Amino acid sequence: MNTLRPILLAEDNPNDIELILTAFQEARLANEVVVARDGVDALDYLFRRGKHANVAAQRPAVVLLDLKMPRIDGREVLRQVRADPQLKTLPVVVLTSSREESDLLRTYQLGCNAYVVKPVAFDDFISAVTQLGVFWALLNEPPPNPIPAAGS
Amino acid sequence: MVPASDTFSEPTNPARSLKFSLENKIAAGFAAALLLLVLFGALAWKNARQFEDVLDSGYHRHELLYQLEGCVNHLVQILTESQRYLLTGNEDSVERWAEQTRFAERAMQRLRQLTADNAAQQSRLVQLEPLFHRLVELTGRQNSIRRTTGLEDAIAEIDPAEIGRLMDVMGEIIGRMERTERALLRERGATSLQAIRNTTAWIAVGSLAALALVAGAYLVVGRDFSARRDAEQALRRSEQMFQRLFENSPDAIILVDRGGRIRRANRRAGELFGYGEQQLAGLQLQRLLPERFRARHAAHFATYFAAPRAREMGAGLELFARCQDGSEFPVDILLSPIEAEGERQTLAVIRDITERRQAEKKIHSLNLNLQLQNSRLENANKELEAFSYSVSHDLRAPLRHIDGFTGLLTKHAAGVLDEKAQRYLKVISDAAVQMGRLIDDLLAFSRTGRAQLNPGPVDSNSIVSAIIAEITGGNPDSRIDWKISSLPLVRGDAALLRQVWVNLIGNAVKYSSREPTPRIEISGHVDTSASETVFHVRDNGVGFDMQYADKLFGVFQRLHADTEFEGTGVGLANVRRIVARHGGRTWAEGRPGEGATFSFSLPLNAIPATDNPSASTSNS
Repeated sequence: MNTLRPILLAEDNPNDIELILTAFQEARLANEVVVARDGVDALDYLFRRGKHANVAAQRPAVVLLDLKMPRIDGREVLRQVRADPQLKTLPVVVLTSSREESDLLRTYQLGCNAYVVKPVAFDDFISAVTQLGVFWALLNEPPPNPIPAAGS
Repeated sequence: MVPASDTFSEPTNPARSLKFSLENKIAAGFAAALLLLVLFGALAWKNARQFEDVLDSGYHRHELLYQLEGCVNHLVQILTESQRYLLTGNEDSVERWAEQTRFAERAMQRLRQLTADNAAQQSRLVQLEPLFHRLVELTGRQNSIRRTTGLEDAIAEIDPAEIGRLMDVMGEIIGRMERTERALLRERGATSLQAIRNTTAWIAVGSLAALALVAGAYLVVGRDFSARRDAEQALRRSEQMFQRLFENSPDAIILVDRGGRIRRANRRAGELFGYGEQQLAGLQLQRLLPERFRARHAAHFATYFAAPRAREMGAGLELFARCQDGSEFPVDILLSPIEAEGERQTLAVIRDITERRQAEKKIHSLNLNLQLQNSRLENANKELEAFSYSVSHDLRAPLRHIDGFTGLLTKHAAGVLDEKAQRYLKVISDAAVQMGRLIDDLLAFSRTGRAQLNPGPVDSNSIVSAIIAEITGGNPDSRIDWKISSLPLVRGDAALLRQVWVNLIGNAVKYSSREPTPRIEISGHVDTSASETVFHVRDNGVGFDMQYADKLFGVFQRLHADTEFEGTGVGLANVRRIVARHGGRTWAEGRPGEGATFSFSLPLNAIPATDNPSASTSNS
């Protein structure tokens, strides 16, 4: 187990954010959870620009990505991440309400690593989030950093 | 419309071919008759000549005989007169004697001419003449002596015996000559007669031949004429037939010559264009076209006649024709070259297509309508998709929050909340979860209506086994008694049919869960007479009252309270919709407390082509 990398949570709904963070607490996950409120925020963090320009950002262990967000939505974030040579291998788990087949298809085609539908029932929700956290933050071996190119 | 003949067709006129040979025959007949006439003429002329000959020679011969007889007379007279003179000394007798001598001389000269054609007779004459001259000499001497000296000297000088001898010989010669002439006469007559008879015979034969020829000609010509008459009759009949066809055709037909003049038009043409009978003939074709088309038509007309073939006129163009009163109507025109009245003409068949145009317009507008409907439906579909999408995302979130924070609250305030409070919170939580399930089911239901069918072979056996495995796997101490028969293969959308089985089997399991030994039977068979495959899922659970059977498959319709059996009432509606989209039927039978059998059928042939995703709802 290496140094704990942060988990980037891209989610616009504060209630969902609270629930997820509570779940992580319950699961006793030690990783730092960075919250981005929408796609712009998330991309700024990942590309270390905008309001995150000065932060010495670390490559997250995993990105928990909601699909339906204002400004830039989850799909676009995924597309840009997969298009960037540095971030191409970044594990992205789509965590969303929709089980629409079109969403599934498109997000997998864009290259997400996993797709999890947020359960309505609280217990199931907690269980799902916990499992996610444990797997991606602890069990999974994240891809190594690629050799940095000039500029970013 | 079938195009007419492609080339100028030769009229098959049997009368024509007969005519030639008939003319030949008549010519031949007349030639033969002429020949016979010439022959007859020649024979008759020959006959006449022969007759003339006969007559002539007869005449000739008779004259000869006459002269011979004259000769004899004259000789006798010469003798007689000289004797008389001898006796009487009358000078009259000497005159008469001289006269007779001259007559006799003339007669002999004539005889010389007349016997020119007969050497024998000539030679006899040659014998006769000196004898005659001797007689004349003797009798002349006798006369002169009598005159001069007297009777006795005359008698003494001239020997009467010699005169007598001369007379006898001459008589004999003449007699021979006579006989020969008569014989010749007879002979010539006989041969001529024979010749005439021959010629007559030939004439008779010729006449018979001519008669035969005439009779033969009559027969032959007669036969030819009757053949010709038959041919003419046939032609007339075919003409009548043509006339009938032409006049009674339901389409207007006109014949147009190179100059664009209408030569002939049938009744329908008159009706169509508003002209009386016979009024169309002689008109220029252009009169039947609206003015604006005339220039172009003239050009086309010329090119058409240059290279005529059967075709539709102005293919692809909208053609109009003009009635006498100026009104117009749309037409279809078919052209075909035809040889008529010995010249090249064009046969034009004109059909009033007003009705067809109207029908076409109607079809066109119906099509537009359909397209409009289609696009409306597509829009509706798209809206529905957007709606579902929105529902997926937006409706679930608040539910999640309700349940989530209820849960957190329960945890957080566990010590503070009394039993009632905790029960209240549980109710809230359950309600939220139930709503979540409803939303899921509704979404699934909507999806079954919208999704495209992917038809393919479906192995129901494997689907059913997988479902059962999931159920029993998740519930190891399930006591369910499964009776699964071998299920026939069907054709349909495997994913959607899986949902059907999931729902039906799920229901069977759910509603028999209260039984001590739940038993579920799954079977299927092919019904060839109805051309469908039928499946049954039977359970021995709570069953239902048939009175409410028609409600079973309705959306959100349930026959049991939520407290008895959980559920959303969408499952069977889903089943019905999916099966209906495959063209099948769904139905159920049950008895309260004795279980239920749910059945569905799928047609044997492929999925109906008229499958319209958003159209099929209830029914069947």
